Amino acid sequence: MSWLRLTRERDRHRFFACGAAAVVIAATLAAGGGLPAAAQDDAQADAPAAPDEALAEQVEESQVEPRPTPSYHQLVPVEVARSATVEVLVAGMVDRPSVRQVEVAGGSGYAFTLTDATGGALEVVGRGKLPVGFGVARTVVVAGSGQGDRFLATEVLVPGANRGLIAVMAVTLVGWLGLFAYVFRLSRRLRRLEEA
Amino acid sequence: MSDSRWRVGAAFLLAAWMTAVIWASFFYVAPALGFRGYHSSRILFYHVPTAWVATLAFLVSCVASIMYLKRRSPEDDARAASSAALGLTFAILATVTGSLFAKIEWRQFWNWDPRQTSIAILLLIYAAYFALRAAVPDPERRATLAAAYAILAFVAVPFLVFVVPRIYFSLHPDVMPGPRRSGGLDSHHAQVLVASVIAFTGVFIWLYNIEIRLERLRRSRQEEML
Repeated sequence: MSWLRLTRERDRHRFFACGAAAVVIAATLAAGGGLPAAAQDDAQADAPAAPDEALAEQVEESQVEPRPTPSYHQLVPVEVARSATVEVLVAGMVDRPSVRQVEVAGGSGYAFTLTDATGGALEVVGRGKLPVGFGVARTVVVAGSGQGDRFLATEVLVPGANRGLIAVMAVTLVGWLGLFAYVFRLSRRLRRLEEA
Repeated sequence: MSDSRWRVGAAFLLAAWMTAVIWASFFYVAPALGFRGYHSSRILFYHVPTAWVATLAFLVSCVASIMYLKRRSPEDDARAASSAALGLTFAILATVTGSLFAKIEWRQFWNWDPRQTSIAILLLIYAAYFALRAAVPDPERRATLAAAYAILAFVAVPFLVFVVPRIYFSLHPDVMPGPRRSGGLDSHHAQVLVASVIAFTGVFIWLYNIEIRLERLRRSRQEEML
């Protein structure tokens, strides 16, 4: 698909940009852009004795629990959603008193707090209007990505609220059946004329 | 079974089939991921078949035009004109559904994507076909000129529909039934898409048949009057 190719191309560019940045930083440090050797020695000498055990524990913890990297549109808990850089889904219950209108870049929007099954709370902010059925829904699914402590929603989905979809289907069906009835009547009239 | 009953039966079968396709396009298939609009992928089930039927109708018009130049039968001319009219109608429907998809996905109804540009050119080419028909009063001369034009117009169709959008970078998704990992459709989407293509082709055949019968009747009445 063209748009997939586009995404991959973009990702590739980002990857190369990050790679190039890493090479430039490494080269700068290697060429002496970092601390001079003497200053490094002084710093080591001045520093208090390194708490080796605490450092080792930290390293061990980071190895035991690596930072999760969710995949595109994966359903994730609140903690992961908050730091998600790709668009993910998070499901939870809406804290009703927290639902409010807010001003966001490019117009008005909404904000509310979402609590998932783990008990974690997430501040959701989005642009535009909330979907039909949101007002009565207890559980919603939000698509979006994390930004700081907030979750920027691209879409709020209300499970079971298909009223909008049913309305579009009804219009399509009425259009089709109307066309069918008209053409069928025309066909019958034509048949009568042919037989006359 | 008499011819009339067969026709009525086929019409009701088509109505039931299309109704099932409409229902399935909304409630049988799950929304496809990767689109900006959660349900926008459902337009696929209407956009692709209308574009397919437009191409088919232009092909039929081209074949009927060749037949006219060969046999000089007014019925072939009527077939070519009816088919081109239906092709133009379905091409307009494809443009409208495509623009709705573009509005949801790319925030604009029209952004001069190669696909949009090529279908705009195609619409103009076939609009000119009807302008040509309306400009020539002599029926035989009109039919000959229109037949030659329809053949030349169809030469541009594969180029505009299949070649141009693949030469230049296009935002248009190039979805084909196949494994989802390779960017293809999943089985439910593919089933409904194929069913929809069959239904729209059925609608085209039905409308084309009525147009031809109407034209035949008009001609026989004219002959009776003369």
